[in-house]
Amino acid sequence: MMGILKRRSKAPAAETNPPAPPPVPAPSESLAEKADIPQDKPALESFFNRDYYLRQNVDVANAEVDPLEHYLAFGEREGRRPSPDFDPAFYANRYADTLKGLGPLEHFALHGQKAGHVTSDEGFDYDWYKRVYLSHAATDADCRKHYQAENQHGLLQKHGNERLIALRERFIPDEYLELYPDIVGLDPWVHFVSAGYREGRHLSRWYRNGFGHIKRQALEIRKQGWALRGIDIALDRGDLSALDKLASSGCQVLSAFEDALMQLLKDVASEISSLVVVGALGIGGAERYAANIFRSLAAIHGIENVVILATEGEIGQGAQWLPAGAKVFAISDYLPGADRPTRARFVRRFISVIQPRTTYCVNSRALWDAALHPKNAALQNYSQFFASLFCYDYDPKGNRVGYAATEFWQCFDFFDTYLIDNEPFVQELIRQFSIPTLQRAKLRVVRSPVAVGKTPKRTVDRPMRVLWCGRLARQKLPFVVSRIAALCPNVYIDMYAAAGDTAASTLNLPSNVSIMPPYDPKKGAPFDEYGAFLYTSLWDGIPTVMLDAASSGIPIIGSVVGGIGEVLTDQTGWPVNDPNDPQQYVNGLLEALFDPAEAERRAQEMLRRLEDHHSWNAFDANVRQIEHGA
Amino acid sequence: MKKTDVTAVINAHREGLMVASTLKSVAKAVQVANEHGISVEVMAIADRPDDVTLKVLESFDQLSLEIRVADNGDLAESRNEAVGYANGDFVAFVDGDDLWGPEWIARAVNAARKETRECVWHPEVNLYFSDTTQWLFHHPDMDAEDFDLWRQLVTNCWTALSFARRSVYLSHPYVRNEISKGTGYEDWSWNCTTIAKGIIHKTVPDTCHFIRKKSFSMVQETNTNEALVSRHDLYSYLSAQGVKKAEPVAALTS
Repeated sequence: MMGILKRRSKAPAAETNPPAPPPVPAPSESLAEKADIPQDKPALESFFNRDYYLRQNVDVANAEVDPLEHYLAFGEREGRRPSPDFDPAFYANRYADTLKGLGPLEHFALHGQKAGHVTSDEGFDYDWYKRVYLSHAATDADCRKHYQAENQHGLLQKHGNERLIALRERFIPDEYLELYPDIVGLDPWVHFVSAGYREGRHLSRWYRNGFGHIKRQALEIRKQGWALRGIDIALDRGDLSALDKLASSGCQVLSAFEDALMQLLKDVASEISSLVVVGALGIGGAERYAANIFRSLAAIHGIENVVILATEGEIGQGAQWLPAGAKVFAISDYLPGADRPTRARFVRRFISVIQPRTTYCVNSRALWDAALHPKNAALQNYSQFFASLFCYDYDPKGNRVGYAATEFWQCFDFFDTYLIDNEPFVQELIRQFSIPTLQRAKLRVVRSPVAVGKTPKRTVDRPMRVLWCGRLARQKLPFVVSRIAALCPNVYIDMYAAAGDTAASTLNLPSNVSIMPPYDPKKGAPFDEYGAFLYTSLWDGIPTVMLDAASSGIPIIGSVVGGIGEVLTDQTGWPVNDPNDPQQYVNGLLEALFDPAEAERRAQEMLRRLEDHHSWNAFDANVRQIEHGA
Repeated sequence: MKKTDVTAVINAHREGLMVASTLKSVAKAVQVANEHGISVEVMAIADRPDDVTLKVLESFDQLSLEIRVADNGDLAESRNEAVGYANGDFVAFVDGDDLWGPEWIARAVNAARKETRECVWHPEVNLYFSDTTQWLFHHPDMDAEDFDLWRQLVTNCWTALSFARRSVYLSHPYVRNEISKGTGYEDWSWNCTTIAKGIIHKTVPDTCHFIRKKSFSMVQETNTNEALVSRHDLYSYLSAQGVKKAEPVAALTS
């Protein structure tokens, strides 16, 4: 439920299927400078878990920028965590009066740790922690210090199973080590309490909880086994004299995978009509599309009967697009660190148990992998499947990649319908894969909805300033922005930039360009503060930020690639046909900025177009038709 | 016509000489049952058997054995077919390479007759054995305080060697395995289905089975193929009851 949402987010501003970015050599030094990064980085290093940060933030890992620098420049204000136990938003809120301009992590490093400040509200069950790890005499501060000091393997827990308290009394560390020499180097009890019991490991050779009276059972087997002596040569070879010392198995002890699946099922615990499976729940366009599907399904089936499951990333800021009471879950909350095949297996098993009538795949790696499974037809016994596609991505060599290029054609039949947010991409897929006429109905245009109200009254404070939003990535052509700015020095461009595969320091930005931190997704991009919106891209579906801009009434100058041409025409804005030609953008920018009457006329036309093609009612009707046909 | 208390069903396929061990263990269990006044008919249903298996069945003389040759190519269908032939009030299954403890039938009948609710019975413990290894597999009892029924959704708590009234098997037939298509685990699915119908799975105190661990088995094949458990309603049943311990609802129907 929304109540269990984590604060952390996936990387921001991935408008559509994120491309696989190539490595870039240089860290974003200018990003750091412009973002006012504190100079005492070394003091922060010991509180910053680089591996964790890179693991949790794939966009940062892909960009190969310095993770601490990224955290300080962007991550902290986006609510990303520098370590599993430090929640910057929580810290900033709790100690707002004492921060005095310092960032949360910096404050904790310099002052908070000494003062014993709490770093997260997902906090300690101090009583449990003392009884399991320390003693009754320990203080709350002792618990926090112990946790900080000893959790280098990530095995300690802040709260947990009451059963473990009783088990501690029976635990014999030497026997556990003898049984499981693979844990050498770790504290045996810490291993058992945090991982071993979930993995079905025995407390000791002699103790097996939940299996009944072992000695009595062993006696009975011995007696009845002796009565069978001579009838089976393999049974005869067995040793019936020490049966109580044999390993035990049974459903009383689950593997970590089984336990995680059971916990998720218990947390869902209701009949599910529809399931939306997403890769992550960050603030990208795909996630927003998934959230809109969820809203529509919730209206059809009731919110309690729809689940959204993130299969790769965590529950991030994209969850804010979901209605209150939404059932939102992430595999990472149940099976942290699960590898790709495990996540695919997990999602298969989950679907086979809850048996939703319909399942929607929105950029979920795990569900696409399940669809590619050689026995994928089995999964169709449990649900009817739909997938969304937005556009191709392109690798640095210009090859098409992404689900549409690599998975779609291999498991075309698995999904009943493909929801595609623009008509040009439907036509492209039909051409590329020679999809037969009878099969084309599987490709359905379901355009993203956008709220269109009355004509907005734009009160622009900075008419000569231009807004650009996106990732600093090859796809988004930041080099072209630099060249545009150089051609019109009297126009100022603010780039609200999320980290991507391109370092800002390599862009050679002129002085009329400013790098800004990514905008707050809760508030949206500040369209009202700018005279025009500039969008540069090599490939796209219909980016949601473009739709947001369109609905705000801001004049738009943008490259016409993918599905953008459905929205941006010379009637609704200033389309640029060659995305690499800065002069075309400049021509549009100057006309938009210096001819307000024309800008207003095109903005009005844009709003009409949105009402025709991108209304909520149209989107909702599409989903309803799909559901009714299912 | 004399009433039959139990039909013992041996599911045979291509076990070869191994099926003789099973037959001998069944013979011992029948003997103990008879000593307790329990009448047992023994049926071997041989599904597409090889010659050796069939010959061993035909030549076994320690039992009065009814042999049915089937062409199902599927264990679930063979179980269902056998139940259709059975005359006993109760049916007890054993796979053609596993062994019952000698007390199994007598104690299972005794427990079942004392119970007023509809139940499926399992031995308390299984000894898995092979030439090189042994371990215990413990069955839970749904009446146990610490038993969590949600576990059955993620792992199969009981083996296929169950014992229940024939009416239970007739009312809830096994679902055919489609291993080549990716679904299977007919016993897991059947356990889930019966629980969802309010039937209780219990253990018979002081009973055991001996389960042969082969280098290759259908369960292994199913696991290798990452097969999914055939459709059942247990999740709906548990969800409707909430996360707390689910209460069985069915009363004895026959």
